[in-house]
Amino acid sequence: MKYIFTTLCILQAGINLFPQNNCQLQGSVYDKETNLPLQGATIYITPISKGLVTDADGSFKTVLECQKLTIEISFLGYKKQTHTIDISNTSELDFHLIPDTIIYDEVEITEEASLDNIESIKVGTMRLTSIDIEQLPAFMGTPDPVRTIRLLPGISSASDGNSGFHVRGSDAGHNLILIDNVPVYNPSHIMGFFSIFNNNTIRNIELIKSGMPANYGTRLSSILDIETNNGNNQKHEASANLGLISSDLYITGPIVKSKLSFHIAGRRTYLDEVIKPLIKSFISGNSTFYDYSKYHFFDFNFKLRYKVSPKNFISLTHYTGSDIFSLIKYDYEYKNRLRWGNNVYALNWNYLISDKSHLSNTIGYSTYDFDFTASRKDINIELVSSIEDINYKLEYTHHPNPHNILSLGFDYQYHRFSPNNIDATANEADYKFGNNRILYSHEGSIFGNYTLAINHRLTTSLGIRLSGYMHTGPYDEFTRNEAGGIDDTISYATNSILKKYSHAEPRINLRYRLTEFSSFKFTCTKNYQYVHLISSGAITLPTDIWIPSTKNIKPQSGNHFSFGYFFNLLQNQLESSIDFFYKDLDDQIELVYGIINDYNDNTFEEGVIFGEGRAYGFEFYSRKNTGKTTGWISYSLSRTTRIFDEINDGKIYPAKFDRLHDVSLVLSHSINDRISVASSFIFTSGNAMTLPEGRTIIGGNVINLYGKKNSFRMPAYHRLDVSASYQLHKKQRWESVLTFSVFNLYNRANPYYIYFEVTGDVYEYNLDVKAKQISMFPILPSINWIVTIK
Amino acid sequence: MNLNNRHIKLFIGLIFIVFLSCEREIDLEIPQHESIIIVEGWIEQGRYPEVLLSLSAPYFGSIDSISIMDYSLTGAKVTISTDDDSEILTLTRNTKYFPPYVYEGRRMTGELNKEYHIEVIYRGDTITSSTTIPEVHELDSVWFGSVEDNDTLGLLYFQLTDNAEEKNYYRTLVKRMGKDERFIPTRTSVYDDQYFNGRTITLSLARGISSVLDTDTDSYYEVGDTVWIKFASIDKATFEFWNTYQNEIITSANPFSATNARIQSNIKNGFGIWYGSGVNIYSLIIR
Repeated sequence: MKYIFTTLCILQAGINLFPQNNCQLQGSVYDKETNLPLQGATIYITPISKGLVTDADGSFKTVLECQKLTIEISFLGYKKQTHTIDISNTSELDFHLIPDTIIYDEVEITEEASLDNIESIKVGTMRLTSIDIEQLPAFMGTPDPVRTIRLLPGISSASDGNSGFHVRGSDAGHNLILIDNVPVYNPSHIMGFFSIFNNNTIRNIELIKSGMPANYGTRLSSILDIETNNGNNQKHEASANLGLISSDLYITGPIVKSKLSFHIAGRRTYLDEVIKPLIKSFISGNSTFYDYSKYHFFDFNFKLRYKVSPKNFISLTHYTGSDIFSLIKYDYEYKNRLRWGNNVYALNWNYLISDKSHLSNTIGYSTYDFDFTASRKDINIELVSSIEDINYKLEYTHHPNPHNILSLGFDYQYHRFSPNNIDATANEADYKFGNNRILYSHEGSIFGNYTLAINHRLTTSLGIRLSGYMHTGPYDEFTRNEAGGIDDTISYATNSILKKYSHAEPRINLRYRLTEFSSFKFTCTKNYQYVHLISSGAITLPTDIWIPSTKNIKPQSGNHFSFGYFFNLLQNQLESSIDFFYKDLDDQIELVYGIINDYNDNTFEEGVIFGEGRAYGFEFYSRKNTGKTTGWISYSLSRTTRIFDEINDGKIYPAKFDRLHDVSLVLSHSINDRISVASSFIFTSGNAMTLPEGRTIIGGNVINLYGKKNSFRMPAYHRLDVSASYQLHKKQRWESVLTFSVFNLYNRANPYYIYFEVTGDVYEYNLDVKAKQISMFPILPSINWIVTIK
Repeated sequence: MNLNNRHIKLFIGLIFIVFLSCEREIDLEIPQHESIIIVEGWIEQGRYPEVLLSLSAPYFGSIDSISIMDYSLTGAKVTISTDDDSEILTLTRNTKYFPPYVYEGRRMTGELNKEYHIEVIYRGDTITSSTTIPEVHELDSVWFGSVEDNDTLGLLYFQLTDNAEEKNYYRTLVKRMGKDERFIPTRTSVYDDQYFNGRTITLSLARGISSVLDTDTDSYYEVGDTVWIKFASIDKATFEFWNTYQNEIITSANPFSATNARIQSNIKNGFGIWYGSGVNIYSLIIR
């Protein structure tokens, strides 16, 4: 009895000392179509029969015992959803309810069943969350949204080591990338190995590859809309991802509880510091490239969100990041430095006028610049290119019921371009590269988009965007005499208008529901693009420059049609689609020479040529979102061509990123609560490239005679990546996960670039040519340790 | 998992292989190449025209002293004509050039501001081109400047006053007596006056290489050299050819270079250049 008493005392003490395990359940409920918060939605926690109602912010929170729960989220006019979650393992939950277009047909949307694929009018929109991205094998253990979207149908990258991505045969510059509604111009670090987006800071990613609604524009092809998370307004959290070549740190928490929250994140690579000292232990002998070179990049993200009132929210987002590369070879007196980076500020004010209407305002500032300097002995060259933007966007959304949504608004951008400012000195001569030219322009649009469910089968979304553009002074325009010399200079004053363009951009989306589990969707959009990214080399580089439309450079335009059959199989477990598309592009731009060749008083305009583009194909996509095993398969069969009078004798030729076949297979499997594994496989047809077919000798040099433009194919690109993550610790206050990943598991040498090496001596009548392929990534294992403190 | 030092080292080792990247020889399937006629011909004032002809070779496959003969073009009929005169050129052997045969004139010499046509007939194919010999321009001065901390090596410099009323293109070549067999284009060898129209400028003449396979990449001249500097006025097509030629040589193996730039030939139905030069030659003994 004494022992029993003692035991009870200890147990009691234990209970007192370690209070009951409580967890916070909090999150928000949104309309899936409009992304607006839903006030008054009900969250019902089944095991404990507890109900909650969302506030004007669409958010809810409560404190519960840590356990697995089943919760139901419902709201009048929307499909009910049921989710099973382990609240000890989650911090904040977002639910997106789907408007219920089948009246009185209450289909229970559970974790196992989603009809979004069938019902959504957003035809070519794909959504990813930071969790989706984390689940996949990550390059060097760093989850990356841009690398993940390249696995989706219709999206491809040019190759390893190429920044940017191509959507349905469009150029990398045809994508608008937004961070909290503000454009960012270069999404890549270290030539696309990493994107600039730190996955910790991301709440939601939406990729619109077709059927772009009228409230988006300014680019021909796609929108990558990245919404950063609002920070935790209840408690502090921190997580660190420690990797072999880079680490990042993320901290979030309230400044004023429930009112003012923040997140701050930083990432830096330490290739130089870690790898260089070790190189000598692996490579003996001669000094290598690494003895002379230095490289690192960093990112910094910061966000403040203030809940002014239950209907007013203000947030400030900041991103800055740079890549810095330098190469110094003392024996050749050679120095080279390349730096590029983005700098973005976004101030968003969201005002809920009522539970049926909403106003959002964004003021943004965004810059991108690169700076290249090279010197050898007494020759120096410096090339600077930059773009600076100030943006404003206002959007009013009214949704009297879930079947009708009206969006109205306008946006405005002020651009300041400095496309290719070059200073060069050779020996004592100072080369005259023309004035360092700055170009100013204004771009704006008014837009309206109306989504209407005509009946339970047919839903339409009709939009119009009226866009306008002005190139304004100050600007010096030259006229030339017959000899090509400058005859006269016309100086335009500040704000005087040199050229105006205005266009209407209609947008049509239709969805016809065939059966409960299938629908047809059709979209037809017209887009104009007034700022242009021009590529200087055979591969996409940070040195690609942004240029504005001017009198001589017309805006690019594009028409995009797509028709798809969307169907769910296996009781909605497999969301599938077959989508056909056709796209034509006008006033496409190419540089004739590189940007450095273009050093004259004429401005860059005389170095560019104009042509047309076309892309067509079909895509198959099937995705499983639920259960222990999730993933998708996507296949695209497409053709992408270009035609320019000055290239390939004016005949049509394949674009360099033309891919006949593009397959992705993504799988992830949760073995148990602690261990999960994932893999992704990609196969694409090889890049198109131009090869020399013949050669000759002129002036004592071997000269290549080229075949038709892009008539040759590089070998196909394929790669398998795998990863496994193992939860080392899981405590109430902290947890840690170890992830192992292997990039390019079977060590495929994928082609990055092919070049030719000529050896021998012309005058000895002895010459040989060998083709050499450069590949970027061999098999590449990595290990990361992710620690989260709650 | 117990990560000992060896494991960590192995991981890191594997990782930085990426940044070294990997290079290997590959076999490619290349489309069949049909040989075309290649022309490199020139005419200067007061001199006979000279024309080198060859056939292009398939890109792959080695060239040796036997196969080279397949690409020499020795049986062509080459005619140079003006509005009122013409001459069929004579084939001679000359090992200064490659292939070692030159079609030379014997009677008609170049005159300034005159237009010259070339016609090559070979196995039923006719290729043509035209050029003019532009007005000769003078340099203001030419001199030698030694490099810092070295009294024996240096660069040549010239001063030029450009005519503001004319569109001008220039070309510079240098020959060191006893060292070079022929005039070799300088490192930057063609100039478009749009960068210095009407101005007096100073430019250097860094020594070029005689061929891309030349291992002597030094750009300096030595004290004791006797050098001949050829300063030529050329027309736009000639400028475009040599300018794009130079770009191609520098950038043909470079993925970062522009992809749409190609050598701009002025030969119809063939490839290469037929050009006239208004030439001034200066000599300098470097002391």
